[in-house]
Amino acid sequence: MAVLKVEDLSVQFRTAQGVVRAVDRVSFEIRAGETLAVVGESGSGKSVTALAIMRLLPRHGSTRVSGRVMLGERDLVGLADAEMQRVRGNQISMVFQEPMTSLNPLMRIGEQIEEGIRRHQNVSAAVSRRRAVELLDQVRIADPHRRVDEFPHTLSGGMRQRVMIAMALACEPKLLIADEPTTALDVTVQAQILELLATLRKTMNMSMLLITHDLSIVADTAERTLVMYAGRIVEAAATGEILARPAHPYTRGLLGSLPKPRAAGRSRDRLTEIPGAVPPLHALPAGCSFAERCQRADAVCRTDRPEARTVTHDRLAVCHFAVAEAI
Amino acid sequence: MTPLLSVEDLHKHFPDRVGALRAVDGVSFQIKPGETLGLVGESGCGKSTVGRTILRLYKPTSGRIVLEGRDIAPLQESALRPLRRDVQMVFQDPFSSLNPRSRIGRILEEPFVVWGEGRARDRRDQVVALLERVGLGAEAADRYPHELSGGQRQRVGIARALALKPKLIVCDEAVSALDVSVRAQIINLLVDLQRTLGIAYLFISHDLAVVEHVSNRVAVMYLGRIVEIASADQLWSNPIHPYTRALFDASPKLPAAAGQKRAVLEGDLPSAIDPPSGCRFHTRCRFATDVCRRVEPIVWQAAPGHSVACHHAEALSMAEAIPTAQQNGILKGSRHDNASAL
Repeated sequence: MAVLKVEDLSVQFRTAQGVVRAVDRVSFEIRAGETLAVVGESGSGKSVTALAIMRLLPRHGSTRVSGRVMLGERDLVGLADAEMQRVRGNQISMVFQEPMTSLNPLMRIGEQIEEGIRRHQNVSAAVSRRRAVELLDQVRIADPHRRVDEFPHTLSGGMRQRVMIAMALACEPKLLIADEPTTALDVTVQAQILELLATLRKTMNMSMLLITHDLSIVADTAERTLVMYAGRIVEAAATGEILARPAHPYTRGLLGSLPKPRAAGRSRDRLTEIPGAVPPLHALPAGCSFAERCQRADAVCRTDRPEARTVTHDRLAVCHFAVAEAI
Repeated sequence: MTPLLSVEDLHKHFPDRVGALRAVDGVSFQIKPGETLGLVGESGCGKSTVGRTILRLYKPTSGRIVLEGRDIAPLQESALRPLRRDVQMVFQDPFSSLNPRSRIGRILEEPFVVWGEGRARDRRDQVVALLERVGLGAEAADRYPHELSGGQRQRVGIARALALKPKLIVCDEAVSALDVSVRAQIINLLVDLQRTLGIAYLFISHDLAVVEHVSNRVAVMYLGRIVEIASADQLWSNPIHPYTRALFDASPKLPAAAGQKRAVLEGDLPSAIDPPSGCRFHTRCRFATDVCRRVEPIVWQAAPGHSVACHHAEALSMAEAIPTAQQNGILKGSRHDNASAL
């Protein structure tokens, strides 16, 4: 059963250079209890997709969102603001990349966690306070009774990210959106946070949308993975399948460009490069956005935009020549 | 081979309200001509400070920085200037490290102007040669930095570092800000340049996979100290220090080792203002015993060129191949042991 269904979601920004299609007809669903990873480089549209789901995009004339984001029977795209506030932080919450800037430096940690609880649940100050301490304990912050009254600057980056997670979990959401939750953290702290998220997801039976640029962290974390490029989903499959037999040339290129452990004594091989760079979103080519960097590209790739094709069961690739191949 | 650079018992402390922040606290290593030494560790371990001190962007608190036989640590700026061209740097952020108001040609010409080299026309040719060397066309000379992609800008940053034909380039997280698909291009470029020009690199990075790929030897830093140093092959096949092992365990691998439970390191990096007594890693180490809390570990040589600063190094290494143990009994930080060990 799907917790959230995204259908034909598009986000356009009007800029000085022209109209930018940051997200272009993206469709996917997040199933109950699963972690779905969205992998992409900068400008792929992965974060804008998350912000569109949460309705956190700027609301002026220059931004246009179309399509549907179905949470159960309700479409979040057209929801009234007051209704959306009841969803945000309650049924869906979000953890951001920067634990340094996403906490209020002037508020005690406990107050920040309690804020969401008090907003969404009709509980007394004593109850919300007890809940804040519990949550800190749940995200494994030592000495939660003392920490609850401290200010963010007294905490390390990893601890702050734990506080962010505690805030996000306060109302036991059905879905947690984690946007690059470990990118700003060191590798040993990253391992701690990923493990914590996995444990909490299981105990709370929550779904997670994990947004990352780092293919190597999805292996341990996500059941399914979407790969985005220049605003579109180019491949969707079970994570193990994508890593072992990528079907889209871009995914293959990404995996090939990661350094692999070499055999002892062997000299280093050159890494496989993807030539060029991501095209500017306001001037995408007519056909496939990846055609210019693709070794397999044909005349058809430069003229016709590929549609999603089913490669095998439960696997999609948006490529004229998609085949699942072992790398 | 005589080392190009020999760093001996280097200290760099920064004054702080409550005491000195010991960013680099007794570090020794050598770099041979044309080789890459990787320097890994987490934020706050002092790896960038090592890089900047070697460049003499910082004045070291104590210790020696011997570049081609000459100690540059005590030199004044005027005496340092002629040596500056031998050691260059590539920065992490290709956006903020190029002057947004200068054309690329002007940025690349500047080193020659500063050194009074060549006439304007020759310099123009040299700029074009540099651009081609890093895989950019001559037409890039007329562009401004904002017109280039992140990868292209990093190529400019590399070209600028190459301009004066340095012997050593300090690459401080030089590929960390780049997207994955572009990162491979820049890593390949750095490796190719080393092969053709024979430059040595001090390659500072938090990314173990990248460091393993580019480095001949690798030093692991923790809280201002090197805890282990070895050839890349040796370090990856037989990591000994508990911190090195924890780092390796924590870094995600592809494909994921099926069912393998990662040993997650607990806690955070302690403060460098008041570092833990004894072994600095003891507060987070699974193997720590009483001696670790009291006594600073000595450097133990696991194999030629493989040194570990851990009281239990010998026992820990027994699990793997048993090396010829030659405990030399010299405290880490006194410079001779490290210099001979490395």
